[in-house]
Amino acid sequence: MIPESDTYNFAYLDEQTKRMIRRGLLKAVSVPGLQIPFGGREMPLPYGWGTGGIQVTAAVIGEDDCLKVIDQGADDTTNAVSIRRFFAKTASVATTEVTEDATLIQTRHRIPETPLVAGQILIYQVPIPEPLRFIEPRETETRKMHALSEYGVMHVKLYEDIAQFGQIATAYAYPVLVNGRYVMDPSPIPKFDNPKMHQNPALQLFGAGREKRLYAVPPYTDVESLDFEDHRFEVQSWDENCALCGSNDTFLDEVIVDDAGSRMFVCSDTHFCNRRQELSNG
Amino acid sequence: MRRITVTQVSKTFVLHNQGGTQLPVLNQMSFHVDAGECVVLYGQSGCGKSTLLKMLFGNYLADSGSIEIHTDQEVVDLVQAHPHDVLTLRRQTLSFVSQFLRVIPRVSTWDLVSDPLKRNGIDPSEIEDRVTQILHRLNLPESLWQLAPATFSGGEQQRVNIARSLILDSPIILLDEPTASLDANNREVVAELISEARARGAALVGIFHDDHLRAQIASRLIHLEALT
Amino acid sequence: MVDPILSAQNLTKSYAPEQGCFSIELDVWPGEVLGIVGESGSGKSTLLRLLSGQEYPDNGSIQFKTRDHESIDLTEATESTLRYLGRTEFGIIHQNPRDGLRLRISAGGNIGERLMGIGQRHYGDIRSIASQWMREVEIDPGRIDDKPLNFSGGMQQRLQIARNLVTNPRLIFMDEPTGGLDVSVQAKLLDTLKGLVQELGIAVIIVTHDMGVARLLADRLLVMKNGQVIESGLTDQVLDDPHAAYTQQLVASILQVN
Repeated sequence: MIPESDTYNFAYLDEQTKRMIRRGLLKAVSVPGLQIPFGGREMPLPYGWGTGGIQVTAAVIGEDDCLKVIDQGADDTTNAVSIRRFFAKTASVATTEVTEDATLIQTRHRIPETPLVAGQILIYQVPIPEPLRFIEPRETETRKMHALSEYGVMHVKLYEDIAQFGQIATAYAYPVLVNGRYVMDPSPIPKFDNPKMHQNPALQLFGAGREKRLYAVPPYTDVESLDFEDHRFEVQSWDENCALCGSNDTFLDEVIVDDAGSRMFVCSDTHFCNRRQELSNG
Repeated sequence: MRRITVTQVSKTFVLHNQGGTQLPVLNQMSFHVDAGECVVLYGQSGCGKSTLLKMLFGNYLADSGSIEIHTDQEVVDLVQAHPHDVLTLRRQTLSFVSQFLRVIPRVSTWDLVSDPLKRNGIDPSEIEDRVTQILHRLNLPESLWQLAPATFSGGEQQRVNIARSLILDSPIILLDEPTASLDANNREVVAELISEARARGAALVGIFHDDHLRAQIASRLIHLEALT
Repeated sequence: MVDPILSAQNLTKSYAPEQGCFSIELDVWPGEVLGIVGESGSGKSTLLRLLSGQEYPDNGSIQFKTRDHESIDLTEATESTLRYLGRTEFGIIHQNPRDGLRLRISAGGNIGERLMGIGQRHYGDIRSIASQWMREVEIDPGRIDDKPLNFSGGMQQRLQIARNLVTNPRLIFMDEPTGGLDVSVQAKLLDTLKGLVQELGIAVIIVTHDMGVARLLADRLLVMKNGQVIESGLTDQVLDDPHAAYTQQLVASILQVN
């Protein structure tokens, strides 16, 4: 039987690797929104399961940190649970589901509803970091386009949406302009969450494991969603409130509850929803 | 006023693809043309009259000598001039009426004839008047005006050609057998147009095979002899 | 004489002896069409790429006069300047429209891209400008949302032209724009080009091996062989009174179709 926490370095990665990632993160923070390549390691889970986010978390986590992990807003999905356990095992850090108590929050595809404060770090898992990839397959070309601010094509994409659907149809991974300079893919968060990125007191870090890229939005940075003057950026809204807590200003998931197709809408952020329920009951 | 001064102009064609055969066509030719004149070049076929006429337009190059065109502002030697300047001369000073219309697909009669005026920035209402007038003069029915000349008869095409070349009222007009495909009636019209051009001070140089027409319009004749 | 919009001196790019172009001098004036003719391998396409800033030469210089009457040496300009010029002051019409269009983006998106690239942010305006240009190049504006993947070759070419002209470039480079098109389609395209060039007073440098195209569109011609200019002058003069042996050969080989 291999004793568990002796076999791995603190937070799984060796110290030099963590330094390498932190160097990359420093560059990323210095140039908000710019993708920084890094030497991604083989992690004990496949690409597409959060290896980038895990490497970033592993690089910045310390003994005194308190970690929250969410997957599509929920603390209790298989992935969120696995990743939380991974860090509990390899770093012996405290973990929590309470957003306010976390110092580090690793997330897949959502930003918590509870507003973050200075000192917190939000770490996003990113599948495809390059916002221009949909139209330009060549890495050499996309790098030049970022360097020269050749972002006309981003608006072409939005134009195509309006031409085809009458409105900008992009509902998640909605491109943003960071600090007035670089266009960034915010990861597949719903566009509902985009406004939360703007002037956020927390540090936002992004890790893409398969593509081996890091990027960052420092605290209090401008993040604007791209749009047209006559087709402005709009967030989603629902006709219903959350069936569990009654909230009318959070992102709702649609859940099908029986074979007849009945559905209900519930908050995607489980912690936020539970807390609201507790407050209204107790 | 002097309009054209040709001095000691010579030209020999060199046919590289036929073993470098040389064909001398003009040798030390000199003459001049003044405003209000209609100078007719005549001589046996092969005497170089068509070549000379084309040289006055910059279409053929002289080997030596000078061909001075006197505009209202300056004197330009076609032999030495930069092609860009020749283009300017053609826009403002020189017109060439060729024997046949070079057919450009799909461009209507109206557009062909109005084009030179458009290029010179003439006011659209004036363009309308002038084009209408000249097309009527040349007996081209209105039904043809919006059609491309590709399907017209030879005579109709040539009348479009003449309209296009004369519409600018250039100070110098060169004519290369313009009436060969026209009937007597329309030859008369062309004779009138030429007289009117002379009357307003244009200098004309032309080749006309029709003796009657030549007699009507020529103020001077220049005879050329073949060199070989 | 007005200043040329583009001037090249001693322009050389060599791939191998006699391959490329050597010590080329030329000038292009605003509103003028310059034709560069020659067989394949004559260096004409290389020359066009140098003049349009798509490649740096081994030697020589190229001056371009901007809208603000400044002179830029394209051979010393940064890549970012060249790319910017390529989207605003220049137009480049590729032989294969697939190289000059985004096939899976709608016609309107293709035409609007350059506008969006220079900061145009009003969807309605972009759309109406795109429709206007489609009319100019004789594509039914009703097809504004169709993708050029489904257009005919001639229509793709005309869309390419519209896409380039939307930022009112002052100089257009064309490499065999009618290559690969049916004769009747070529005629229509040439007609459109000629009309636009005259209407907009653009300067054009067109590379072609087709003398009929050259005669129809070009005011002046450069004849190239083995990377050198062997004859130049007014189009009608070079074609009617060719002096160099090679030019005479080229002209003699034009099939007369009447």
